[in-house]
Amino acid sequence: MLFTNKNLIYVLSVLCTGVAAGVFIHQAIKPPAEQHASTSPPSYDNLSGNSALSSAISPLPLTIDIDEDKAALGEQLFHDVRLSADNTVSCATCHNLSAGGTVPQPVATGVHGRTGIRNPPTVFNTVFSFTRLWDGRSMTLEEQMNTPILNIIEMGSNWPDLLNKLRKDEDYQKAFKALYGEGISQQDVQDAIATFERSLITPNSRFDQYLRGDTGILTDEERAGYQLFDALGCISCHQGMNIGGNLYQKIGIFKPYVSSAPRKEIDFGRFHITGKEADKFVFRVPSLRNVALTAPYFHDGSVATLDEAISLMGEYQLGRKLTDAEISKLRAFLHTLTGEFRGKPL
Amino acid sequence: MNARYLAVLFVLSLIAAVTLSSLSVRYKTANDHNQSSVSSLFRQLKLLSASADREILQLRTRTQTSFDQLAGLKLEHDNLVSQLEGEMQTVFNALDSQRLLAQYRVLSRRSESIISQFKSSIAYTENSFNYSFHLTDEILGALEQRGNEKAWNLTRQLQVDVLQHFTTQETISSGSIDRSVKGIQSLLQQNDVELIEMLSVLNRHLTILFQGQSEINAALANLFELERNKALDDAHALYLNRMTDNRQNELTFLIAAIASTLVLLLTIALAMYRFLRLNSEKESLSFAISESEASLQRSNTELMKEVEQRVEAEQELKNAAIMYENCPLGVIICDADQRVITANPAYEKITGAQCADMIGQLPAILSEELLPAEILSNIKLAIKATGKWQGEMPVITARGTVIPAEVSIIATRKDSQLSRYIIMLADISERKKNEDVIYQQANFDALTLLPNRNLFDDRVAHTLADSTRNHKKFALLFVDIDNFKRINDTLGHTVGDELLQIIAGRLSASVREVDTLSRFGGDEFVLVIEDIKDVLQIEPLLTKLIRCISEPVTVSSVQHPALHVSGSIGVSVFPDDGKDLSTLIRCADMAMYKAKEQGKNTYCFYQEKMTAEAHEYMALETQLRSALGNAELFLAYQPIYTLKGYTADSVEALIRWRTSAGELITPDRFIPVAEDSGMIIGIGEWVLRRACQQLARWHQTVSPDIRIAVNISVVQFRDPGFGAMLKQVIEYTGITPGSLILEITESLFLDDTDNKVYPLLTEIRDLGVLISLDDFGTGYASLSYLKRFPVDIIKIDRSFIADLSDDKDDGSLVEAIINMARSLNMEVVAEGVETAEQLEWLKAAGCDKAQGFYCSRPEAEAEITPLLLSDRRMTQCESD
Repeated sequence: MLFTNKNLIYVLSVLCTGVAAGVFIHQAIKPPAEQHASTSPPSYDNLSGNSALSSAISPLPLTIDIDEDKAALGEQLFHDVRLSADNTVSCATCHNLSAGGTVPQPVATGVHGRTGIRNPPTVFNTVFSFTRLWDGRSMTLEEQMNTPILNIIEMGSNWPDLLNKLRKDEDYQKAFKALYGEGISQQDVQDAIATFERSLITPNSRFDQYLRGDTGILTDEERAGYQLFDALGCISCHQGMNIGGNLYQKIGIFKPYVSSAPRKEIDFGRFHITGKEADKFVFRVPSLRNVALTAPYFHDGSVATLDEAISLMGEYQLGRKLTDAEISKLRAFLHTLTGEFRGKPL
Repeated sequence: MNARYLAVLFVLSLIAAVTLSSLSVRYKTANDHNQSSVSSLFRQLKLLSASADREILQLRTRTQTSFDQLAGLKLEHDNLVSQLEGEMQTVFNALDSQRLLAQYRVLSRRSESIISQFKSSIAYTENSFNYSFHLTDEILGALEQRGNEKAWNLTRQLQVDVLQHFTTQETISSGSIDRSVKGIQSLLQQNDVELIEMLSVLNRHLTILFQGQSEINAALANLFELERNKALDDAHALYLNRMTDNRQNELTFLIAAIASTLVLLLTIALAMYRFLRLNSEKESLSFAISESEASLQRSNTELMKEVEQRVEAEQELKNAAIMYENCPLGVIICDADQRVITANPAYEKITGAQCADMIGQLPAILSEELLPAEILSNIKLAIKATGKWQGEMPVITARGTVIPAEVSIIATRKDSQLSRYIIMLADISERKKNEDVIYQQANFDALTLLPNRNLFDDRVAHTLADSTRNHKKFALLFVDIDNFKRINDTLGHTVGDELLQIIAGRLSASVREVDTLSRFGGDEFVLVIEDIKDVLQIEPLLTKLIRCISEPVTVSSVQHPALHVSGSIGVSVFPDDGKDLSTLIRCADMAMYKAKEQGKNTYCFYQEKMTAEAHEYMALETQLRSALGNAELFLAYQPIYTLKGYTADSVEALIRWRTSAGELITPDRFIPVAEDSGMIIGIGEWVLRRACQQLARWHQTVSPDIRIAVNISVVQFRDPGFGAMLKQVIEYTGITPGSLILEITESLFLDDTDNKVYPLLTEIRDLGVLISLDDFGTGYASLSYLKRFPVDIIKIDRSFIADLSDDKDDGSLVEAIINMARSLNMEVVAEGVETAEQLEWLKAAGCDKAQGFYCSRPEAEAEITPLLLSDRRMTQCESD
């Protein structure tokens, strides 16, 4: 008699109200949750350590404060081909640290031998640039990483597969557990690689030493090159700590840019992102640090030598055929921008 | 206690429960939220925007020349906004918090875009300003040279004007500038092309300058018009309002909570009461009464039910009729003699026959002439046994076409007599077509139309099962086209694709029908040869396959002479090499690589040791990846002595690898790995750079006439960046090109299918760098190569030198090489000299130089430098 249908409903309703009341009381007496310390990415100011800029170009900091352990893990991931769909391509394939952080070819080769249309930007000093990639598509290093990893012509992978592969590796399991806690998540992988990439700075170039006061370190020709760099106006775009990398500019102010790369479709740069007519042929001004080592040049990698690149810059941005003497001075100056990596010349 | 009363109580308690749980959630979030930190974030954002404005003005007035600070502020700004949004989300839901900041976000994005434009304008204006000043100086110089004082004065004035206007940022009319430029132009000589050109460039820069000025001003005006601060204030005010509302709501919540709790208590009390009452009423008096009442009610209910059923049945009939008329399936109904009674519109539509024409006829779709006998007998059997049949059959329409259809035939019975046949059919031609396409896509490679991996796996699974059962052997062939990637890279994918199609055609023409040929992707084909007695049996087939690949290929998509490709084949055999498919494929793959190693254009059978080799290879590759970074690679140097004065005039740089574990790995083990993985590009560059740096030091400390020889791998030489890299290294280290010797091997010439080696070698020679041909005599030594390619030095391979003393043939061969090199004006170096007799012999034969353990072992830089610093004479010979 007690558990007739009616009674059952009745008892159940009493039970569920009781549970709800319990939850309420529990919440009411629980202290408010602690605020999580915000982990914001390093800001410009922290990195520069040099807020009063006397010159348009300032030297790179000699060291950078990062978590060494995470960077070491990131370095391993950076060289790990398992990040690509068919286990053939790692970050380092296109950002070869012994080839200026890029590749000596116009475009790099991704999975299944596929190729893209843009020259891989160097991974060195990228932490000091204001956005990532040639068209500024990504703001942060963490975000940028998705582009090559997911792109079918680069690494062609996806996060679930990639994480599955990494999780099978006991060494990774241990390393991640020690640094990030149990499990390997996308955020953890991104953080480790980004941390490593932040560590890739090349300070103490001869020009930086010059900026720091050792004025005798440059030869007469190199100094003349620097003066010319200033007088011709190159420095208007290539300025700041990274000698570029902090603004967008149109390529081809004096004449329309015509790529000599073997491609049919036209690369309009930022136009592909913003859709604004004014953004056609606008690209992120590349950093000139280590430029002597990052041939070939321009966004399409169509220019094989530094001399050619200088000469074309003169034609496109200055409307002027630079003389051989001018090119040679500018080249001499650009060669002083090669820095040191881990204490050794790049 | 009646049912309605109970229901009310139940609903009340449910409401109370829901209210309480939602309240608990609200209570939690309100507690976690920190209002003052949000206000502080709003304040920081305003401060930041003020800093940005200041920075922008500084850039405008050129008191700031770098964009770093502005970029830094933007980063900080984005950070703050996302923090703010995070805070908001702890108290409002995601949509609400986005709405709060929506206006501000819109304005920020717009200002971001204006600032981008502003930066770009500032930069190119600055550029034009700088450069026009520089250019004006040049023009002034030129005018001074020409003595054109009038034009000089005008130009000077123009320079001052521009400077003044630009620095005071007044916009001046570009018309007036244009006039001054024209004025100067009119003072020039018409044939002074150089000056006129300079002036026109100047004019364009000035135009850009003024255009930029107005763009900058417009950008600034737009920027300061955006009321970002107001949007921020609005958002803040809105936020505070919502928070006040929230607090008022909290009071309401509290009251509601108390009320709900009261209701709850009441419900619990009632429950207890009922529980007790039920227990006390042990005997129910009212039971008999309620029982008779219940039986009355039951009969009543049954009556009602019957009426309902009739109404329902009528409705069902109507529904059936509607369904029959409108359903997309074609339906015909036949009587017991199989004569058509009626057909629905869908049937008419599908078959194209008219209902009126069919009535009284046998249904056309079941006609014995048209239907395969097998299906017809199936139908008869099924109808007899189960009363229905369902299946696919071809249907001939009144239009004369045949369509695939899914047909159901149901025989209905009335009083155990067959009464009707209901035939339903659906046109499945669309589905069939899709299924065909899907089957094709899922199982065949779109390019070559060969079975793909999927179908291959399926078929080989059968073969595997069959062979296991019947103890038969089968062979799995892994076919790969050599250097296919290069064809793709140099001639394009269209050519590559066509080549693959042609090769696929040839391969499938060369095998039997029963053999499974499939494409695994890229240039890899896999072939299964079933039922073989022993391995040797398939050798003729392998030869045939290799030959059919290497026949010239004419590709239509490009005007190109016939392509010559070759293939490498790896073979594994079931069950000898593996008992499952993946093992067999892996073994065949390894054997294929072995075939490539053996010079390509050949085949190779799997052997057990290959697995071990592959493991070692992979381990080596992984280790090598980090070797350069870990500074595990280093160079050793071995002097090369002249045989005239026994003096070391050059040194060969040799790469060495000591792993972090201390193991020394020889170059012949790791260089092939580096070449295959492409790492050789980086490693080779490092070697060259390091060697040249060392040479530069020796030039300063020892003597400027020392030369260094560096080995260049074929892969490295083929890298398109090689020439540029070489120049850069020479330039960077400042060595004289004539002191650098690049050692290449003969295989480079053999591999020169696209004729790139010759121009590059010539280019290198033009730089002044010397070319040395290493390991001469081992490979495919051909005099024609020596004549065709620019080579300065020949290095006779160590194997000839080792056999000198006991082999007369080798002796005469070495002599011949020396004589030939002489006639071609080349220097000859003997490698691997290990004894005094060999040295003597070589000297007598007229060899120029020698290198080897007898003369000096390869040593680290620290050992070699003192040796070079002494008189560089060979110690053994001094003691002689």
